[in-house]
Amino acid sequence: METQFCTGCGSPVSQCAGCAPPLDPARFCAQCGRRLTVQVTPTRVTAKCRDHGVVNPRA
Amino acid sequence: MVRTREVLADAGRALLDECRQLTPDELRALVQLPPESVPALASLAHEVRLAWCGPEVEVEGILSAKTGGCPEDCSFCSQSARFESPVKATPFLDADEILAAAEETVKVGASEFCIVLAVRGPDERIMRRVLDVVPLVRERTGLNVACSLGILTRDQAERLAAGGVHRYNHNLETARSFFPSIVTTHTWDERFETCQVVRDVGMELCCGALLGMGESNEQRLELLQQLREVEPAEVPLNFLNPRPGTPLMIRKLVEPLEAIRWIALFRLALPGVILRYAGGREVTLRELQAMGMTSGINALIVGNYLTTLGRAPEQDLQMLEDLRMPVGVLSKVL
Repeated sequence: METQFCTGCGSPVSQCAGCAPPLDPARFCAQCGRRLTVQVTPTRVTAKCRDHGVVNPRA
Repeated sequence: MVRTREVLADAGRALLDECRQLTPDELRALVQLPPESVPALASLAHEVRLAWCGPEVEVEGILSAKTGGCPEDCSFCSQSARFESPVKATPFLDADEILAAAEETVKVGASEFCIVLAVRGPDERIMRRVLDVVPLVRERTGLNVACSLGILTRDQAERLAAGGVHRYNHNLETARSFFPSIVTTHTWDERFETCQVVRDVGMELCCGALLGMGESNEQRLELLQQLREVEPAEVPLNFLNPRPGTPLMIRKLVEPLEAIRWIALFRLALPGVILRYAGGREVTLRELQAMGMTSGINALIVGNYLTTLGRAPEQDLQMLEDLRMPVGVLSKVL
Protein backbone atom coordinates (compact mmCIF):
# COMPACT_ATOMS: atom_id res chain seq x y z
CA MET A 1 0.00 0.00 0.00
CA GLU A 2 1.39 3.38 -0.99
CA THR A 3 2.22 5.74 1.86
CA GLN A 4 0.06 8.84 1.52
CA PHE A 5 0.33 10.33 4.98
CA CYS A 6 3.16 10.92 7.42
CA THR A 7 2.99 8.38 10.26
CA GLY A 8 4.46 10.95 12.64
CA CYS A 9 1.98 13.81 12.23
CA GLY A 10 -0.75 12.58 9.86
CA SER A 11 -0.09 15.25 7.23
CA PRO A 12 -0.15 14.33 3.53
CA VAL A 13 3.32 13.25 2.42
CA SER A 14 3.32 16.18 0.02
CA GLN A 15 3.44 18.41 3.12
CA CYS A 16 5.60 16.27 5.45
CA ALA A 17 8.29 13.90 4.29
CA GLY A 18 8.33 12.14 7.67
CA CYS A 19 8.73 13.72 11.09
CA ALA A 20 8.41 10.77 13.46
CA PRO A 21 11.19 10.91 16.04
CA PRO A 22 13.58 7.97 16.17
CA LEU A 23 12.24 5.07 18.25
CA ASP A 24 8.65 6.30 17.97
CA PRO A 25 5.99 3.94 16.65
CA ALA A 26 3.69 5.13 13.89
CA ARG A 27 0.98 7.36 15.35
CA PHE A 28 -1.03 8.02 12.19
CA CYS A 29 -2.25 5.70 9.47
CA ALA A 30 -0.08 5.89 6.36
CA GLN A 31 -3.14 5.28 4.19
CA CYS A 32 -5.65 7.76 5.61
CA GLY A 33 -3.79 9.94 8.13
CA ARG A 34 -6.17 8.97 10.92
CA ARG A 35 -4.72 8.73 14.44
CA LEU A 36 -3.86 5.16 15.38
CA THR A 37 -4.60 3.25 18.55
CA VAL A 38 -1.13 2.15 19.63
CA GLN A 39 -0.17 -0.24 22.40
CA VAL A 40 3.46 -0.55 23.41
CA THR A 41 4.53 -3.51 25.54
CA PRO A 42 8.04 -4.48 26.70
CA THR A 43 8.91 -6.32 23.50
CA ARG A 44 6.08 -5.57 21.08
CA VAL A 45 4.09 -2.72 19.61
CA THR A 46 0.74 -2.88 17.84
CA ALA A 47 -1.15 -0.21 15.94
CA LYS A 48 -4.73 -0.16 14.72
CA CYS A 49 -6.56 2.22 12.39
CA ARG A 50 -10.31 2.59 12.73
CA ASP A 51 -10.70 2.20 8.96
CA HIS A 52 -7.73 0.06 7.96
CA GLY A 53 -7.42 -2.31 10.89
CA VAL A 54 -4.04 -3.50 12.15
CA VAL A 55 -1.20 -1.64 10.46
CA ASN A 56 2.58 -1.75 10.61
CA PRO A 57 3.54 0.30 13.70
CA ARG A 58 7.13 0.66 12.58
CA ALA A 59 6.31 2.22 9.24
CA MET B 1 44.14 18.91 36.59
CA VAL B 2 45.64 18.96 40.07
CA ARG B 3 42.39 20.48 41.33
CA THR B 4 40.43 17.68 39.60
CA ARG B 5 42.53 15.01 41.27
CA GLU B 6 42.05 16.61 44.66
CA VAL B 7 38.28 16.91 44.29
CA LEU B 8 37.94 13.32 43.14
CA ALA B 9 40.27 12.04 45.85
CA ASP B 10 38.28 13.86 48.51
CA ALA B 11 35.03 12.37 47.20
CA GLY B 12 36.53 8.90 47.00
CA ARG B 13 37.84 9.12 50.54
CA ALA B 14 34.42 10.17 51.83
CA LEU B 15 32.45 7.48 50.02
CA LEU B 16 34.88 4.57 50.05
CA ASP B 17 36.95 5.01 53.21
CA GLU B 18 34.72 6.98 55.54
CA CYS B 19 31.53 5.45 54.08
CA ARG B 20 29.65 8.72 54.38
CA GLN B 21 27.54 10.75 51.99
CA LEU B 22 29.02 13.76 50.23
CA THR B 23 28.09 17.20 51.48
CA PRO B 24 26.34 19.65 49.14
CA ASP B 25 29.61 21.59 48.78
CA GLU B 26 31.51 18.43 47.86
CA LEU B 27 28.89 17.62 45.23
CA ARG B 28 29.03 21.18 43.89
CA ALA B 29 32.79 20.83 43.40
CA LEU B 30 32.21 17.70 41.30
CA VAL B 31 29.61 19.49 39.16
CA GLN B 32 32.19 22.12 38.33
CA LEU B 33 34.82 19.69 37.03
CA PRO B 34 35.71 20.31 33.37
CA PRO B 35 34.32 18.03 30.64
CA GLU B 36 37.66 16.27 30.19
CA SER B 37 37.38 15.06 33.81
CA VAL B 38 34.03 13.32 33.27
CA PRO B 39 35.59 9.89 32.53
CA ALA B 40 37.52 10.08 35.81
CA LEU B 41 34.34 11.13 37.62
CA ALA B 42 32.51 8.21 36.01
CA SER B 43 35.25 5.82 37.09
CA LEU B 44 34.88 6.92 40.71
CA ALA B 45 31.11 6.53 40.49
CA HIS B 46 31.52 2.98 39.20
CA GLU B 47 33.86 2.12 42.06
CA VAL B 48 31.36 3.56 44.54
CA ARG B 49 28.52 1.62 42.98
CA LEU B 50 30.48 -1.65 43.27
CA ALA B 51 31.47 -0.92 46.86
CA TRP B 52 27.98 0.12 48.02
CA CYS B 53 25.73 -2.06 45.86
CA GLY B 54 27.77 -4.91 44.41
CA PRO B 55 28.07 -6.00 40.78
CA GLU B 56 24.48 -7.07 40.08
CA VAL B 57 22.25 -5.25 37.64
CA GLU B 58 18.45 -5.30 38.02
CA VAL B 59 16.43 -5.64 34.84
CA GLU B 60 12.85 -4.40 34.55
CA GLY B 61 10.06 -4.26 32.02
CA ILE B 62 7.39 -1.55 32.10
CA LEU B 63 3.90 -1.37 30.69
CA SER B 64 1.53 1.49 30.06
CA ALA B 65 -1.67 -0.27 31.11
CA LYS B 66 -3.79 2.83 30.58
CA THR B 67 -2.43 5.28 28.05
CA GLY B 68 -3.14 8.97 27.50
CA GLY B 69 -6.07 11.11 28.57
CA CYS B 70 -4.32 12.23 31.75
CA PRO B 71 -5.80 15.38 33.31
CA GLU B 72 -2.42 16.63 34.53
CA ASP B 73 -0.28 19.09 32.56
CA CYS B 74 3.26 17.74 33.02
CA SER B 75 5.00 19.65 30.22
CA PHE B 76 7.21 16.77 29.19
CA CYS B 77 4.47 14.17 28.86
CA SER B 78 2.77 13.03 25.65
CA GLN B 79 -0.05 11.45 27.68
CA SER B 80 -1.56 14.68 28.96
CA ALA B 81 -5.04 15.35 27.60
CA ARG B 82 -4.19 19.05 27.66
CA PHE B 83 -1.73 18.90 24.76
CA GLU B 84 -2.17 18.15 21.05
CA SER B 85 -0.11 14.98 21.29
CA PRO B 86 -0.29 12.24 18.66
CA VAL B 87 -0.69 9.68 21.45
CA LYS B 88 -4.29 8.43 21.41
CA ALA B 89 -5.88 7.58 24.72
CA THR B 90 -6.66 3.91 25.33
CA PRO B 91 -8.57 2.31 28.21
CA PHE B 92 -7.21 0.12 31.00
CA LEU B 93 -5.90 -3.10 29.50
CA ASP B 94 -7.55 -6.42 30.32
CA ALA B 95 -5.86 -8.68 32.84
CA ASP B 96 -4.90 -11.06 30.02
CA GLU B 97 -3.14 -8.28 28.16
CA ILE B 98 -1.22 -7.26 31.27
CA LEU B 99 -0.27 -10.86 31.93
CA ALA B 100 0.96 -11.26 28.36
CA ALA B 101 3.18 -8.21 28.78
CA ALA B 102 4.50 -9.59 32.07
CA GLU B 103 5.34 -12.85 30.34
CA GLU B 104 7.27 -10.90 27.70
CA THR B 105 9.19 -9.33 30.56
CA VAL B 106 10.09 -12.71 32.04
CA LYS B 107 11.45 -13.87 28.69
CA VAL B 108 14.01 -11.08 28.61
CA GLY B 109 15.37 -12.07 32.01
CA ALA B 110 13.79 -9.34 34.08
CA SER B 111 12.92 -9.64 37.75
CA GLU B 112 10.76 -6.55 37.96
CA PHE B 113 7.56 -5.53 36.16
CA CYS B 114 6.00 -2.11 36.56
CA ILE B 115 2.36 -1.40 35.72
CA VAL B 116 1.94 2.27 34.84
CA LEU B 117 -1.30 4.22 34.44
CA ALA B 118 -1.67 7.74 33.05
CA VAL B 119 -3.84 9.13 35.83
CA ARG B 120 -3.66 11.81 38.51
CA GLY B 121 -4.33 9.11 41.04
CA PRO B 122 -6.28 5.87 41.19
CA ASP B 123 -10.05 5.88 41.68
CA GLU B 124 -11.79 2.93 43.31
CA ARG B 125 -12.35 1.15 40.01
CA ILE B 126 -8.66 1.35 39.17
CA MET B 127 -7.69 0.22 42.66
CA ARG B 128 -9.84 -2.89 42.37
CA ARG B 129 -8.50 -3.80 38.94
CA VAL B 130 -4.89 -3.29 40.02
CA LEU B 131 -5.41 -5.30 43.18
CA ASP B 132 -6.94 -8.08 41.07
CA VAL B 133 -4.13 -8.23 38.53
CA VAL B 134 -1.06 -7.85 40.78
CA PRO B 135 -1.41 -11.28 42.45
CA LEU B 136 -2.07 -12.88 39.07
CA VAL B 137 1.15 -11.46 37.65
CA ARG B 138 3.13 -12.51 40.70
CA GLU B 139 1.75 -16.04 40.73
CA ARG B 140 2.01 -16.72 37.01
CA THR B 141 5.37 -15.10 36.33
CA GLY B 142 7.25 -14.91 39.64
CA LEU B 143 8.04 -11.27 38.90
CA ASN B 144 8.21 -8.58 41.52
CA VAL B 145 5.39 -6.19 40.70
CA ALA B 146 5.72 -2.45 40.93
CA CYS B 147 3.02 0.11 40.18
CA SER B 148 2.88 3.74 39.15
CA LEU B 149 -0.62 5.08 39.62
CA GLY B 150 -0.02 8.70 40.55
CA ILE B 151 -0.88 10.43 43.80
CA LEU B 152 -2.01 8.07 46.59
CA THR B 153 -3.93 8.43 49.79
CA ARG B 154 -2.60 6.56 52.78
CA ASP B 155 -5.48 4.11 52.56
CA GLN B 156 -4.73 3.38 48.93
CA ALA B 157 -1.04 2.92 49.68
CA GLU B 158 -1.83 0.50 52.49
CA ARG B 159 -4.09 -1.53 50.22
CA LEU B 160 -1.48 -1.71 47.48
CA ALA B 161 1.18 -2.81 49.96
CA ALA B 162 -1.14 -5.46 51.37
CA GLY B 163 -2.01 -6.52 47.84
CA GLY B 164 1.54 -7.46 46.94
CA VAL B 165 2.90 -4.30 45.30
CA HIS B 166 6.47 -4.37 46.53
CA ARG B 167 7.67 -1.12 44.95
CA TYR B 168 5.79 2.04 43.99
CA ASN B 169 7.01 4.56 41.44
CA HIS B 170 6.35 8.22 42.02
CA ASN B 171 8.97 10.56 40.60
CA LEU B 172 9.85 13.93 42.01
CA GLU B 173 10.89 14.65 38.40
CA THR B 174 12.70 17.89 39.19
CA ALA B 175 13.67 20.26 41.96
CA ARG B 176 10.97 21.87 44.05
CA SER B 177 12.06 25.33 42.86
CA PHE B 178 11.69 24.36 39.18
CA PHE B 179 8.59 22.19 39.42
CA PRO B 180 6.02 25.01 38.92
CA SER B 181 7.62 25.71 35.53
CA ILE B 182 6.82 22.14 34.48
CA VAL B 183 3.55 21.21 36.19
CA THR B 184 0.70 23.42 37.41
CA THR B 185 -2.09 20.91 38.08
CA HIS B 186 -0.48 19.50 41.18
CA THR B 187 2.34 20.59 43.44
CA TRP B 188 5.76 19.22 44.16
CA ASP B 189 4.68 18.91 47.78
CA GLU B 190 1.85 16.57 46.80
CA ARG B 191 4.41 14.37 45.10
CA PHE B 192 6.67 14.49 48.12
CA GLU B 193 3.79 13.48 50.37
CA THR B 194 2.92 10.46 48.26
CA CYS B 195 6.58 9.41 48.38
CA GLN B 196 6.51 9.57 52.15
CA VAL B 197 3.25 7.62 52.34
CA VAL B 198 4.68 4.89 50.12
CA ARG B 199 7.61 4.40 52.48
CA ASP B 200 5.44 4.66 55.58
CA VAL B 201 3.28 1.73 54.51
CA GLY B 202 6.27 -0.48 53.75
CA MET B 203 6.52 -0.43 49.97
CA GLU B 204 9.90 0.27 48.42
CA LEU B 205 9.91 3.75 46.95
CA CYS B 206 10.98 4.21 43.34
CA CYS B 207 11.44 7.94 42.93
CA GLY B 208 13.12 9.33 39.89
CA ALA B 209 14.21 12.37 38.01
CA LEU B 210 13.88 13.77 34.52
CA LEU B 211 16.87 15.82 33.41
CA GLY B 212 17.00 18.21 30.48
CA MET B 213 13.83 20.26 31.00
CA GLY B 214 15.71 23.55 31.40
CA GLU B 215 16.66 23.20 35.04
CA SER B 216 19.98 24.64 36.18
CA ASN B 217 22.86 22.66 37.65
CA GLU B 218 22.04 24.22 40.99
CA GLN B 219 18.47 22.92 40.68
CA ARG B 220 19.79 19.45 39.88
CA LEU B 221 21.83 19.62 43.07
CA GLU B 222 18.69 20.76 44.88
CA LEU B 223 16.84 17.75 43.49
CA LEU B 224 19.58 15.39 44.67
CA GLN B 225 19.21 16.75 48.18
CA GLN B 226 15.43 16.33 47.98
CA LEU B 227 15.79 12.78 46.73
CA ARG B 228 17.96 12.04 49.74
CA GLU B 229 15.14 13.29 51.94
CA VAL B 230 12.58 10.81 50.54
CA GLU B 231 15.06 7.92 50.89
CA PRO B 232 14.15 5.98 47.75
CA ALA B 233 15.15 2.39 47.20
CA GLU B 234 15.33 3.07 43.48
CA VAL B 235 15.99 6.18 41.41
CA PRO B 236 15.08 5.89 37.72
CA LEU B 237 17.07 8.48 35.82
CA ASN B 238 15.27 9.81 32.75
CA PHE B 239 16.58 12.19 30.13
CA LEU B 240 14.09 14.35 28.27
CA ASN B 241 13.14 12.91 24.92
CA PRO B 242 11.17 15.90 23.59
CA ARG B 243 7.70 14.71 22.66
CA PRO B 244 5.74 16.10 19.73
CA GLY B 245 2.90 18.34 20.80
CA THR B 246 4.17 18.95 24.33
CA PRO B 247 5.41 22.31 25.62
CA LEU B 248 8.93 20.87 25.90
CA MET B 249 9.01 19.55 22.33
CA ILE B 250 11.47 22.27 21.31
CA ARG B 251 14.06 21.50 23.95
CA LYS B 252 17.37 19.97 22.93
CA LEU B 253 18.61 16.64 24.19
CA VAL B 254 21.12 16.57 27.04
CA GLU B 255 24.58 16.13 25.52
CA PRO B 256 25.95 12.61 25.95
CA LEU B 257 28.99 13.46 28.05
CA GLU B 258 26.91 15.76 30.24
CA ALA B 259 24.46 12.90 30.75
CA ILE B 260 27.36 10.70 31.87
CA ARG B 261 28.45 13.42 34.30
CA TRP B 262 24.99 13.46 35.87
CA ILE B 263 24.68 9.70 36.03
CA ALA B 264 27.95 9.70 37.95
CA LEU B 265 26.80 12.56 40.18
CA PHE B 266 23.55 10.77 40.99
CA ARG B 267 25.54 7.72 42.06
CA LEU B 268 27.95 9.79 44.12
CA ALA B 269 25.09 11.66 45.78
CA LEU B 270 22.96 8.55 46.32
CA PRO B 271 25.55 5.80 46.72
CA GLY B 272 23.27 3.04 47.98
CA VAL B 273 20.28 3.35 45.66
CA ILE B 274 19.25 1.24 42.72
CA LEU B 275 20.07 3.74 39.96
CA ARG B 276 18.14 2.77 36.88
CA TYR B 277 18.57 3.72 33.27
CA ALA B 278 15.10 4.86 32.21
CA GLY B 279 13.53 6.89 29.42
CA GLY B 280 15.55 8.82 26.89
CA ARG B 281 18.82 6.97 27.27
CA GLU B 282 19.01 5.67 23.71
CA VAL B 283 18.54 9.06 22.06
CA THR B 284 20.60 10.94 24.66
CA LEU B 285 23.59 8.68 25.19
CA ARG B 286 23.71 7.05 21.77
CA GLU B 287 27.10 5.24 21.66
CA LEU B 288 27.82 5.99 25.33
CA GLN B 289 25.20 3.64 26.78
CA ALA B 290 27.80 1.11 27.93
CA MET B 291 29.78 3.94 29.51
CA GLY B 292 26.70 4.79 31.58
CA MET B 293 26.79 1.28 32.98
CA THR B 294 30.32 1.99 34.25
CA SER B 295 29.34 5.42 35.61
CA GLY B 296 27.08 4.29 38.42
CA ILE B 297 24.03 2.71 36.82
CA ASN B 298 23.06 -0.68 38.28
CA ALA B 299 19.60 -1.27 36.83
CA LEU B 300 17.84 -0.75 33.55
CA ILE B 301 14.51 -0.83 31.83
CA VAL B 302 14.83 -3.20 28.92
CA GLY B 303 12.78 -3.19 25.77
CA ASN B 304 10.16 -0.57 25.14
CA TYR B 305 9.00 2.30 27.29
CA LEU B 306 5.45 3.54 27.87
CA THR B 307 4.76 5.12 24.49
CA THR B 308 8.14 4.92 22.75
CA LEU B 309 10.36 2.08 21.69
CA GLY B 310 13.67 1.06 23.22
CA ARG B 311 16.43 -0.86 21.62
CA ALA B 312 16.15 -4.64 21.44
CA PRO B 313 16.49 -6.31 24.87
CA GLU B 314 19.10 -8.62 23.37
CA GLN B 315 21.36 -5.61 22.82
CA ASP B 316 21.17 -4.64 26.47
CA LEU B 317 21.69 -8.17 27.70
CA GLN B 318 24.71 -8.50 25.41
CA MET B 319 26.03 -5.22 26.79
CA LEU B 320 25.74 -6.56 30.33
CA GLU B 321 27.44 -9.81 29.34
CA ASP B 322 30.26 -7.93 27.63
CA LEU B 323 30.71 -5.81 30.77
CA ARG B 324 30.58 -8.97 32.93
CA MET B 325 27.74 -7.52 34.94
CA PRO B 326 25.48 -10.26 36.32
CA VAL B 327 21.71 -9.79 36.23
CA GLY B 328 20.25 -10.00 39.74
CA VAL B 329 17.59 -8.79 42.11
CA LEU B 330 18.48 -5.74 44.12
CA SER B 331 17.05 -4.17 47.21
CA LYS B 332 17.98 -0.98 48.91
CA VAL B 333 21.45 -1.01 50.42
CA LEU B 334 21.64 2.37 52.11
